Amino acid sequence: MSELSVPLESIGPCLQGVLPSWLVTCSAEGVPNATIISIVRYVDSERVALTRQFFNKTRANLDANPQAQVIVVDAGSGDQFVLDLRYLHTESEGAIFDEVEANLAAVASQMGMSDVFRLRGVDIHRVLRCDPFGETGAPVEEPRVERDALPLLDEFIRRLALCVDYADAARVGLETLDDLFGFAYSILLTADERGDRLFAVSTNGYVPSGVGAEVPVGVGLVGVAAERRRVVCVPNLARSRAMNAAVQHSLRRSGAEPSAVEIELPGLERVQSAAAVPLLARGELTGVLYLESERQGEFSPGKERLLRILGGQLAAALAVLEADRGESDPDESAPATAPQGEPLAVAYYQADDSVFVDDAYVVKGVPGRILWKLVREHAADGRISFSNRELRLDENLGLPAGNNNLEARLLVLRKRLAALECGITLDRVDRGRLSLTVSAPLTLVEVPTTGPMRAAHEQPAGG
Amino acid sequence: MKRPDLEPVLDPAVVEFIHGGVAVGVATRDDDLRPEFARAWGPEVSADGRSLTLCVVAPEGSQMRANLERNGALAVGFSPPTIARAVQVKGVASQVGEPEAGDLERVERHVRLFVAEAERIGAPPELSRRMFVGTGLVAVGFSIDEVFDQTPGPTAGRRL
Repeated sequence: MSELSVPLESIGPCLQGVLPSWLVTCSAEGVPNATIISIVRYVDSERVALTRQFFNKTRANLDANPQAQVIVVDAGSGDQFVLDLRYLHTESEGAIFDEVEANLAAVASQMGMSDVFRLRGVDIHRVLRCDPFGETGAPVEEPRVERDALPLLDEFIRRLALCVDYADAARVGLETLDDLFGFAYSILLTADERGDRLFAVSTNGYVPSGVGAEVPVGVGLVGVAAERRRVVCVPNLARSRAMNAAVQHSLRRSGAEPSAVEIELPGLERVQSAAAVPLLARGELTGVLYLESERQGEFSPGKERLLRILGGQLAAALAVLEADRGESDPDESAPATAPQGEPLAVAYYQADDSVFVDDAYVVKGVPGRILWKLVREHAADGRISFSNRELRLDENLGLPAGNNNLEARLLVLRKRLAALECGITLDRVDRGRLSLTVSAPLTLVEVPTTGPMRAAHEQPAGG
Repeated sequence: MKRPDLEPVLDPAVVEFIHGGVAVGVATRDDDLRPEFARAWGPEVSADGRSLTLCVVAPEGSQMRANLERNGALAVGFSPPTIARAVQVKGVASQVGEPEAGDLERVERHVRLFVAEAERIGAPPELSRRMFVGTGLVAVGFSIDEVFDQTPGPTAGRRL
């Protein structure tokens, strides 16, 4: 049991790396050193972990003289605490390292600085003393997030259980995170079939919604959470950006070239903190839940466990509904009246399966192929009713075996069509049944490719 | 014996940085080489760029005060609230005494600049003002023995 006059558990908000911490050490020759570090992380009631990145002098000092002192600040209240430390050892693997590393890697990737922010290790220190610093009084115990969360979790699970299909769960899940937990800005992304990209299927709080946006696995907070399969919380994005500018500057001075990374996702202009939660089902990555906040420190270590539970519930619900194959046959009845008016020009590009309606980009990839199939069949015989089952079985769509993503793909397609108001809509009319509505006759143009995707579009010989 | 011609001289860009809205952290140590931290305010680099004066929070009876008076070894870090850049200077305190009116004016100006700088990255003024403690300030002067660039990145720790 800890003997500290101020238990580390009571200063949780200080141990999130929201505000910079001063770290002081001293060499064996008696020369002090003062430096600033970004992450002081809670390990247990007696130990903290400090990131070891660039602090060359600090490292040499700790090896020679393990005594250190660090000042930590609560970003919410401005309370400060002084911790007397004794350096124990450095970890370059294991649970603490992985957690800190995933966080740091995510921030670095977000900023396009993956090559610079390599975590050398986490320095584990024993805390010998923890006291208020400056004009700070004794700490008030942090509200117990976990205990208070139980009734909310109960309600979250209840609402998810009522969802009738994938699209419903994708919407209700995000809305409920807002209602119950105050996570007002969220994006649900699904892993694609090859496992190297994620695409946004549902968002809450953003205009435009950004549905259909793609993120490569390994890039940014979302991509790193997916790659490492770890919850990534960044309590202070604003400072990360500033830090990025600093590192870019430092890199250029040392003659290196900054790497370029860009991410196309909706985002808050005044984002202060963010979290990315990997979604796992059947032991596999199925997606990522991404949350943003305009408040610093919103996603604290205390909330990581809550986020894991929420992500787990959401992933399980979505997996069950995606796998729901209770599919009806298409309704064979033809439309009562054929649409009239100025035709809609639908263009399909084989090169990337992108579809444009009257020159407006709709979607590409698998949803693009699906849309092209639907409009072609509609143009041929006026058909408006389709089933999930026939899409799953249509080899021309190139859905991978097991295609667990069809519901997510259809959701993206439906939302893109609805958002564009392009005269074509796709609605879910029953379990596994879709209805295509067009406001005018369609003229179709297929643009062949001579590029690497050509073979995929050739008819099989002897067909 | 110190040779003034071999000691570092802060260039004008570094001096301007130190005189801006940066956070200032002081490290000292006791006889057992235990490091001790305090915040400091109102740093002023001498006209020749070779020495520095600043007001350190070191009340009577504090470890910081004892360290300054017993051995005077100190390191002073300067970094804006964004921590986008950092500079550290080292030396041995040659003067430790009551701040004068000029020192306190510089302290007030510095606090204003610091709060404004912190506000630029979204820190509320009432929060960053809490970093400042106006009691127990001690004016400390020293000649600069070493200067380091601590800006995050590959050059961190480089001697300037």
